Amino acid sequence: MQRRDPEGIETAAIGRLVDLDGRNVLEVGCGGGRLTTFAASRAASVYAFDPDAGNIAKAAAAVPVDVRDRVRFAVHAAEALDVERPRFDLALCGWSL
Amino acid sequence: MNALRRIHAALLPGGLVVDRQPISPEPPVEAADGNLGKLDMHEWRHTIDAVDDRIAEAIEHGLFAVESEHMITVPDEFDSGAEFIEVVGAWRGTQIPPSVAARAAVARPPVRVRQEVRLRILRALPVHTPEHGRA
Repeated sequence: MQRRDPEGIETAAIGRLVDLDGRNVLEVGCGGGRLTTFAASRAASVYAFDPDAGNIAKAAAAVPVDVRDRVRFAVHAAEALDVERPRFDLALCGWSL
Repeated sequence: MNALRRIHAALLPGGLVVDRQPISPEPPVEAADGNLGKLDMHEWRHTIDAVDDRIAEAIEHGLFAVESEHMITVPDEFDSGAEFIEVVGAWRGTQIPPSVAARAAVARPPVRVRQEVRLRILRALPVHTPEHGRA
């Protein structure tokens, strides 16, 4: 089994650098949910999207029930991101864009 | 650049972007019984260079400003050499040199790849473009 960042080095660093508490978070290219649960456990809401439907299914399955209602998933590319007005405090991007 | 414009349009003025990129072209591979060598991620590094160019362009256009930059080392851990070869062999822009694969196949697990990851914090600047609002 693969364990990505088992010690939580990346999430700890992000937690030190930005305040996610109560924020509305945009997760760009969420993949299999590497950061989704971390964000959802702190943020008021998370909008997580990825162009790969299989990744979204994995990410959705990995989110614990107690924070599931804070997360909305979608399948699309970053170029197709379409919001009615600016509404996110913070965007998590990376591992390409 | 279009993706960055969309992200900028979705952020409140002053909102932050956490940009995470693995940047080492040759991350080391280790097992419980020692160092196995290095991956060849030079092709991936070209992808990151292209991303950096797009971000630099967005900064030039006044969409974002760099607040800070940090480096961390993030491990990926595998329960066996075979799993390492299967998973990492499918990573985009990544080659496992034959010597590393041969050592990994007989190495004592866990097998670990340590990637240098650059964290950049960008702040969305309050510029107004035709795309701001509904994109």
